[in-house]
Amino acid sequence: MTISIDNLLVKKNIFNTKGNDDILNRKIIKGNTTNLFNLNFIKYTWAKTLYRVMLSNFWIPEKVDLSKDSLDFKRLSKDEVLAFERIISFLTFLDSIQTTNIPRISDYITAPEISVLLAIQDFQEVIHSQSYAYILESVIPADRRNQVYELWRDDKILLERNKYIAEIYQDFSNNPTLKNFSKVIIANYILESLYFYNGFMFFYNLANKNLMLGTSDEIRYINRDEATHVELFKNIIRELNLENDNLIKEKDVHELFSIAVEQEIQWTNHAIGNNILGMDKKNTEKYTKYLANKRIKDLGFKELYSNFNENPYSHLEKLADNKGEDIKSNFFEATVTNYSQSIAIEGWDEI
Amino acid sequence: MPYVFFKDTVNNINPNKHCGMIGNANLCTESFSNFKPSKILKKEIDENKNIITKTIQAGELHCCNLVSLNLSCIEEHELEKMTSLSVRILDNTIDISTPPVLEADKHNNEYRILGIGSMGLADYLVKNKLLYKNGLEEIEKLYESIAYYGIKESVNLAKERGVYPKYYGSDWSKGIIIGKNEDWFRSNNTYIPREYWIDLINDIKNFGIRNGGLFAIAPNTSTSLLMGCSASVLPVYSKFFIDKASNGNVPICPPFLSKETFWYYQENKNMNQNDVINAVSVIQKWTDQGISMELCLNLNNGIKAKDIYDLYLNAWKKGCKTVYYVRSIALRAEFPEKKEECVSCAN
Repeated sequence: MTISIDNLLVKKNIFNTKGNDDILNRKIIKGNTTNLFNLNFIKYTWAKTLYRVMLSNFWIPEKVDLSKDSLDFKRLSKDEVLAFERIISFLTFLDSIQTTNIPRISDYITAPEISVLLAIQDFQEVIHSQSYAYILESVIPADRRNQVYELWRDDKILLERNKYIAEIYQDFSNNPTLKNFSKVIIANYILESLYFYNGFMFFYNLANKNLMLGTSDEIRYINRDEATHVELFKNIIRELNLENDNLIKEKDVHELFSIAVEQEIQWTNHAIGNNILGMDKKNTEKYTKYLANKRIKDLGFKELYSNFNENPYSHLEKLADNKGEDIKSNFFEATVTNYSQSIAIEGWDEI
Repeated sequence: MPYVFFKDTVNNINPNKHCGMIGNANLCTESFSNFKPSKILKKEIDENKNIITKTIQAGELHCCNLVSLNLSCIEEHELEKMTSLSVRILDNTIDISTPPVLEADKHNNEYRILGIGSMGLADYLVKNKLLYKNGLEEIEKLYESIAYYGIKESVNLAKERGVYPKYYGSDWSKGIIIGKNEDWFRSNNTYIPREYWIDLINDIKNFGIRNGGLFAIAPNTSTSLLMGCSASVLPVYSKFFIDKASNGNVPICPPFLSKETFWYYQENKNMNQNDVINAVSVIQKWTDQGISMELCLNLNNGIKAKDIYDLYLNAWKKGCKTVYYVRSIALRAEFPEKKEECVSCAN
């Protein structure tokens, strides 16, 4: 099969004196950008809001105290420990390859305001990987840590699952066709919006039992960042479709999501299964399909699973504090996770 | 942005300004009185005994002696009894407890400052089918009553046990009650009949008062959870939220939440914070020390720096003495076009 030149994406130049930054000419892909970043001169206005939100979400993993978690860890059941290790290992790996993948996508993005957001996302993925490592090293005994880090390829089911998403990333990197670009964008959206969440729920479920509260604080921070990444890719997909004659097709979204959902359920059944109080296989299926439906509908496409529109874990999502207003922290005693940096507020010069 | 303390307002109404000034409050910003650091005058070494002796000029250190009336379950006819009892409990506390710092012990004995506060005001309003906005009269009546009953009991204690040592020369001794003299009571309307207040002023002049300060409203964030009522005098944070403290996450619903009361429970996170400031300033009128006022800014409602500045300024203008803490609700990732209408604003 030959690939027509139209379907091949070309990496943007770093130094492009003939670039045209006019807003009318600006496009997410195949544009002609000089790469100049100017927040006052942007086409995609949502990017400015998102920029502020992402910056004001800044946090540092070590500011959460995990000393009590290492005591709690000894009180976990055998199955909870096993699940904890597998999920941490999985999340660490995903955020690690995500850190490598994001710049490869950004190479082809010709709207500076979006490249900038991808750079912040990339930075946040680093923080996430590091926070998983901080958790791992705070609670898991030294002799076990390396084994946990390596689970991503030693655990067969986990390897299989990571392979699927990683290969989509690798394919695009090797062969940057429009088709592969569309796939990598959908895969990113899936990773950010679906893949982490049964894992997150596991930690909130522990927190619901007043266990591993520091860990759940870390997860809440990460969750808050992921919400901005989901929003970013949702908007990228929407704009891509406007500019490129519906490049991201419902059919492809459905196809990729259905495989992802299957793997997510299989993996969660393996990692969590029926042996953790508060979670089971039935609810894993319900939650995963509910979440997939929600994410697909957010893109403006038809849902994939009928009769899966109820969230079995809404009580756990309350602990996720997605809206930033469900949790009221006693700031003398516990980490406040829903603050913003002062950059979130504008108009200092009006005072 | 925590712990803002309006030193001017605090000291203008300081009943003990004749013998010192108030430089700061406690951390929760509700409890304060004269403060002075100790000074080391001399250090002497007795080399034979290997002992160093310091001579220290005694400073003054305020000590918080706090109690709170649970307004969610006190009936109107019990208010006088409960307030009087609170005065006695705290006055006894000063006698039977010893602060670990000498300066505080001395201060306690010289000023005998109490901090009678309250919690569950939000529940009290709901019980009476009132909102913060239209409940200002009821709120003022309530706190004026608490002030009246409390001061009256402290005068009774003075008759029994004598006045506090620093009483002479204080505002109290000049017939000034929380910054208000007899002229003020003659020219302003009050809920407690004017004659009662004037009688009380005369009683103080005749018998003195046992306590140099009586009222301070603490935040009660954790205590109110144990008591099953809303915290302090503030609106509930939310109709359903998770309280996160060191021991874990506790789901919280206000005590009287029902279909009938649903709209009366205003959520602080959705309220115009000037409504909170107005309510607190009415309470402050009858509170001789401070109130732990916590404001809550939802950054998703387009809050600008000037709005925050205006809130602080308004709090100061309205006579609030401190702003304990400003909580914020972080910016959300989703964009306004998707934001759901909030239930409390629809009210």
